[in-house]
Amino acid sequence: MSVAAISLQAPEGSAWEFLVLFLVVILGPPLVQRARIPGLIGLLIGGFLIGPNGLGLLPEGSKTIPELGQLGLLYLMFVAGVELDLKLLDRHRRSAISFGLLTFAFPMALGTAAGMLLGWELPAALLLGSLLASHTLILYPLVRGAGLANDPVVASVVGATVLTDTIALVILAIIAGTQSGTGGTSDVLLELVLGFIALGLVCFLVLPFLARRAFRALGTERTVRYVIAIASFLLAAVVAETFGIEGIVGAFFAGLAMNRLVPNEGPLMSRIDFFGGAVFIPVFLVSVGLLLDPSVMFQLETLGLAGLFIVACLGGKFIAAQSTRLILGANGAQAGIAFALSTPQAAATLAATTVGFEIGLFGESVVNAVLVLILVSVLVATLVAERDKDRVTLPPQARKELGERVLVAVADFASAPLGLRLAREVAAREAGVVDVVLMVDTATSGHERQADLDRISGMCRRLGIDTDPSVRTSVHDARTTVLAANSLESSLVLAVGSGIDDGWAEDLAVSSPAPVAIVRGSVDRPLGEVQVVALDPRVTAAGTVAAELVAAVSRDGDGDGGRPQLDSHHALGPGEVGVAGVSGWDELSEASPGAETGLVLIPDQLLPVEVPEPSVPEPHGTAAAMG
Amino acid sequence: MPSGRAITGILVLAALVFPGCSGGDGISSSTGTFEPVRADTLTVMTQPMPTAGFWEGTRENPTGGFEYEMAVDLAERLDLGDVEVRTAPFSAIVAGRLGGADLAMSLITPTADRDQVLDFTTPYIDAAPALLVREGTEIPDVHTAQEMQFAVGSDTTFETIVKEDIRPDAEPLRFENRNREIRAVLDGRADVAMFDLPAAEAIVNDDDRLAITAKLSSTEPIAAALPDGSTNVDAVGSALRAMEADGTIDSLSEKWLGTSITDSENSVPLLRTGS
Repeated sequence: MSVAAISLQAPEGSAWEFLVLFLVVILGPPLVQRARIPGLIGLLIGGFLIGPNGLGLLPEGSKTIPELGQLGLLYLMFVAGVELDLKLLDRHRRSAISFGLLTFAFPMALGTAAGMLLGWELPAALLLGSLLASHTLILYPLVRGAGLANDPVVASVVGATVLTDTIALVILAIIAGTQSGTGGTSDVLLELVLGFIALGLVCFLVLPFLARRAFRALGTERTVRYVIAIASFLLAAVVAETFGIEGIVGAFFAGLAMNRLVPNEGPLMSRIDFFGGAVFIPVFLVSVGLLLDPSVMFQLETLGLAGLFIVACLGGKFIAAQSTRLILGANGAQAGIAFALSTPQAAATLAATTVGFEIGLFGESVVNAVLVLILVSVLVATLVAERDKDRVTLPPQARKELGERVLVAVADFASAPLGLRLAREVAAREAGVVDVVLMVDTATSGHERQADLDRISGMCRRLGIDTDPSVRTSVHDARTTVLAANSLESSLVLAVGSGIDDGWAEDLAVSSPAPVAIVRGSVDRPLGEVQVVALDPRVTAAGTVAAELVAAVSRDGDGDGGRPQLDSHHALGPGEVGVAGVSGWDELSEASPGAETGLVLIPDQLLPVEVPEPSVPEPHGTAAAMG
Repeated sequence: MPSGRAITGILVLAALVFPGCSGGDGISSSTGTFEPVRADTLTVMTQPMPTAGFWEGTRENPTGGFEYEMAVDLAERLDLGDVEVRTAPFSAIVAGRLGGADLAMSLITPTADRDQVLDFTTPYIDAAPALLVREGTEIPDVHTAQEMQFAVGSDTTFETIVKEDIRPDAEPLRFENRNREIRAVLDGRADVAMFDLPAAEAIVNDDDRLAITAKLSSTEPIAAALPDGSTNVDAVGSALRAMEADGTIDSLSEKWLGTSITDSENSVPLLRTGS
């Protein structure tokens, strides 16, 4: 066979298109980041370069990337909803709503006015206003990294994002529905109202119920959990589209609905972020870049539009940010941070612009002008955030809710199911995360360690806890747990079992950075079937923690389980778990549950001097009734 | 940061920069301005009429058709009162000779060569190439197809598709006029002709002696073509996207081609070419 007989073909087909796409995803962001430009701009530029208006590496009319980009758009909106910190919205409800309305209203008014001034029809002008009024928390990681997550102004802006993006997407749904609907306006509006009712029912009742059941039933099968998350936003998007509402609205609502089931710090969120960051969202941004056309972008008309959009958006956001001085008592630096957080235009803006383009409401000039706006808004906000983040006084550390990050330190397997179940319930109340650390002594061989890890992982899977347990070789269980709690920034530590050091849990209680509950007992039943009783709810810090734990796990949520309170753990019957605050070393070390019962003890007011030395354990006395 | 007063000033300045604000010919819509060749008239170029299902009637007296009614709807969306139809051979149209028309709508697929002489809008149909045969003719596989005599339109993308994907034994017959191409199949000079699936369906609806025996797996986008460098592309493209979004294109397809565009894709057997 001669070399001349070999005929090479020009690269084409799906493999070629995906190769080109992923080269842009790999190379685009780092290249522009060298010039201190946000990575997403690199993806947009990369999309332009490979597209029909650039080097034409993708075949004319190819739909591979645009269609994958549509999935990326839904994913982006789902992530926007699921990542929002609803706890912050709840804590700073009033200021978040006030700021949310202002930071929406000013750009909305200015954007709509700009559209009307340009002679646009009202729907196009309103859509422009709403897309300028939304914002994406691109710079939140930067601000959070500076220790400002608990600053009241920062928290209000984060909470306000729920409001601005929801209103913007509702306006988008109404405008897109009335523009592309085939019936009269009243019919379309009725269809939209019914659609939002159906979407609300599906997203906020059906979806969390199904997801919770599926998560429980399927345990921590990682791929399954992830696919359930994907299916949830696709379901919401389909429901939305059935009623003529844009799919992105459904995806965003699904994100809000799944918010509590997908803790921001949890493994599932990491997976969602990973695949979103690696594939789906970059693909969407590259697909938007395909629309970039320099011959349109650098026309006087486009640049003029971009200038006007920038003024309306940044001007409106600036006025709203300055209003935090009045309504929130912010200083200049805090107002600057509010501006930096609420100005960047990305997710909702791109989504609304793409939809506006697809339904023929926006032309290419507007799309290109919005892309210029996105670039400028991100750049300006980054500069302001960099300038002001170090000028804001660090806020005091906020008290964590008990269930935000629960550490289960397991010293022996017998009590592990009870501890894990308790952790799961407490964390679920706060959409929190469960970390599991299994402690083994130094004599344990590598093979045994692996077997222990498999065993505790199996327990977590069986109980539907999405976590990655770790094994730590320990010579001092209390110290090991304190180190783990410190590094994980735990909000509650459950010390499970007696372990190698008698009294390790008591030792832990006086040095732990977070409240400690000592879990004892071999009861292994669903907590719904366990009679949880409060033992002596004292008016102390420990009593408060005890009351919260009982409320978390009791079936009727009020802590008394509908039964008279018991005054001693000796009265616990099979299948019952007692929760109590204790203040004496004796009662703590002597409290031991009977067969098929459980005890959760929260040490209170134990001074270090009273800590029994691990090497010289306190002699056990006779059992003393608590209370 | 700009102050509120500065913003007001800039908005006022914008009113001066963009004369559309005062009702002139600048930016008057969010989708760009359409400037017709003839005042208040949309001038549309297409192949010699009639083209079954797409352009019915005569040039002087068009009576309907998928693309014709799209043109009428387009004119309404662009606030134009009238539609004027002009015709030219397909090869002339794709060579960029639009004869002074605002745009051409004639089942044109954008290609790199055509893009040199024309500007294309967003595609309004994606259609698979379909094989049109006499009723009763079967083409179960590509080997059978290779033994048949093909007919294709001159300068259409089907010439390339037939040569590269089907690779028939005999050189395809080329026709300037699609009605002659159809007649060639009917009178037996050709065994099979290639058309876009919606066009083939309209032909079959019109003449029950013909049938669609298969389609290829690839699809061809079909778009409106405007003169190279036209400033009207954005306005026409936006209007076409709006027609797609509000269901106009689908309802016109059902009306004139007998089926919705999305449904038709699924009802015809696929011919695997191995390419």
